[in-house]
Amino acid sequence: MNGMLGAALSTIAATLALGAESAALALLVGVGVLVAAIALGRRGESVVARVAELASIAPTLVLAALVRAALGRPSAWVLAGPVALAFGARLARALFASWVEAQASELAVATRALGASSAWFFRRHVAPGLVGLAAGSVAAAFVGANVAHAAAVVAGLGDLVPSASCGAVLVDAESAPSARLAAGLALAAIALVLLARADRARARRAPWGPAS
Amino acid sequence: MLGYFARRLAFWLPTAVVLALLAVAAVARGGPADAPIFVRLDPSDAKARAVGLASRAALDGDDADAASRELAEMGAAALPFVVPMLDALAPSARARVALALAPVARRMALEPGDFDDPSRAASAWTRYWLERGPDFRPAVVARTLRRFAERPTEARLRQVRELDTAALAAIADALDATAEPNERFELLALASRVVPSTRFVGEARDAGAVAEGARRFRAFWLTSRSKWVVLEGVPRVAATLLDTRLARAVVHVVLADPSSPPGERGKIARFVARAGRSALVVALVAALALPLGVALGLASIFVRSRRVAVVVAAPALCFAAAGAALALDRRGPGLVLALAPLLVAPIAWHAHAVGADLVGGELERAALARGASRLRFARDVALGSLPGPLAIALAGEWPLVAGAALVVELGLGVDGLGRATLDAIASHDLEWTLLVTFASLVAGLAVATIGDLAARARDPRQALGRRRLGGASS
Repeated sequence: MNGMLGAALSTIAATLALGAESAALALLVGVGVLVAAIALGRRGESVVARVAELASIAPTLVLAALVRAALGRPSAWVLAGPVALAFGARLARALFASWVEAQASELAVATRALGASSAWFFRRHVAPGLVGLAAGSVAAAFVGANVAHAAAVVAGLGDLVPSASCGAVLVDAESAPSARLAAGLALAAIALVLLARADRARARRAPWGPAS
Repeated sequence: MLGYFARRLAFWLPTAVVLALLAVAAVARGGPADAPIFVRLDPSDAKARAVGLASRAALDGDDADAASRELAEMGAAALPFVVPMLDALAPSARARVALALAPVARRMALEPGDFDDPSRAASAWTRYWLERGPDFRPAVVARTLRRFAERPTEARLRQVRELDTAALAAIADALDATAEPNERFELLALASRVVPSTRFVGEARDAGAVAEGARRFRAFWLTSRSKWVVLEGVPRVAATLLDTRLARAVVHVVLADPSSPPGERGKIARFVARAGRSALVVALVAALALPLGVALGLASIFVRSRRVAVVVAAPALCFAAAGAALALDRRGPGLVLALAPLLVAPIAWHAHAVGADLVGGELERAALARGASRLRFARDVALGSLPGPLAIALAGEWPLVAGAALVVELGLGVDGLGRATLDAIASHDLEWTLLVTFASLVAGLAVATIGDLAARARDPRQALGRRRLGGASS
């Protein structure tokens, strides 16, 4: 019984660790690219487009297999890196589009005409909308990393990461049916909670956004 | 439009090259280290190789055995450098090096006896080189080969067989100089005889087989030339790039892989055949996921009070479906049913986002004010306006679609690109990695271009460009 509980806790811990690493890295990529794009001004759009191209070169699994070959050993970053690249690039594109939209809004023109600085406008009106967008992408990256692990196991790439997450247990033929069911339910619960919270955050729209 | 394509390509090409190099570096790591991956800073040629191998073969031990084998493979191309070395060696070392050349003597069909005798092999090689060394001069070798190719008699065959690998450079030149299939066949057959474990032509003598053989020889010669000839000047500089694993992979993809049996299909042909099967799987996955995702996304707009619940519940439902289907049938059609819904959530989100812009806006209010029903508005306006924006949004989901298709392909055991690619990465196959990387990049470029063109068709302002508009453009 203790053994089963230990295995379950270890699987949950691996799931959370894999998801958290991927989500943190995706956030870093997304915000980093946004900052670089804003700093570069008119050329910023090209930066975002190049990062999006980079993320679309190959399916995440193929990228993970390449990273695994380069590292030469299993590591959580083997999956977290490609997943973060995919979701980070998407986040960067969404954040940048939102920033461009905000700058072109009537509200931005009005605040500038009233003498407000860009920094104030960003902090007061743009950032809340971006936080919502970022929350959605971070949650998706968290879930996506575990889905990618499940896909890797189905593809016969089980040794990409050192420990089994819920995604891996869900599709592992050697796992007991009850363990697979529990892993599926746990993953679904995590996805539901995270995405619901992200959706709530996204619902706090920026003032320039269209009426829903 | 032309400017758009030029700009796209100008940005895409450097990205593609850098990413392909990164992929090659990743796959090459841990593979056979018989050559550097990208650049050989100290290109070696026949002289350096022969002297190095003879020096190693002169010593006693395991390494000497390996060096002796390589020296025997190098063949007569090593004689101009090894035979003069023999006098300078100690008697035992001299005997070891001379004996390492015994297989070469057999291949050259020299009189057996002295070359296999440890006490007489060195003097036999010295004597042979004194008598026949002039026959190995490039001009003489070229003349001998030309005569053989023109009329391959038994006597001339004996002459060219004696030249062994020293004839390879002349064979390369002669192949370029003649277009006569029979002559080329004889030259390629001779090359197959002297190069170890490589056959450039089989039994077929038709023009197609000979042309393929010539291509295989050219691929071999481009990447292995430095092993058989002395490099000076431009060829030596070229060897820094050509004598690498990357160059070998590129040549094997573009021309042919000489280590494969003659008549076997090239990598590109095999890639295309597998890509066709993979494309079918992508179409199957998309056909299952797209209608479901769009329906779910649109439903989430019209059932407004439950919009959030429906959209958020989609991935959770997908996980449940995946778990159930995988539990029932891990390697069958159930896998398709399990994984296709994983695509449904992002498609539903996009459909919801696109639809939400249409429904509930001024357009709908105006339509309702004019007496149209909500159903009619949805049918005549919303659905008709959906494909363009949805195509633009879904263009960004290409990696997701390709990833899902990859897993489905592996799960169903389809002999497509997925398994071959993963196997290639595991076995450090640079040729396949290069092909897949470029194909992925081309597919990504095509999808992004379709997305861009759809965006331009929908909003003509985007086609005007940044400068004329004075604002942002795609």
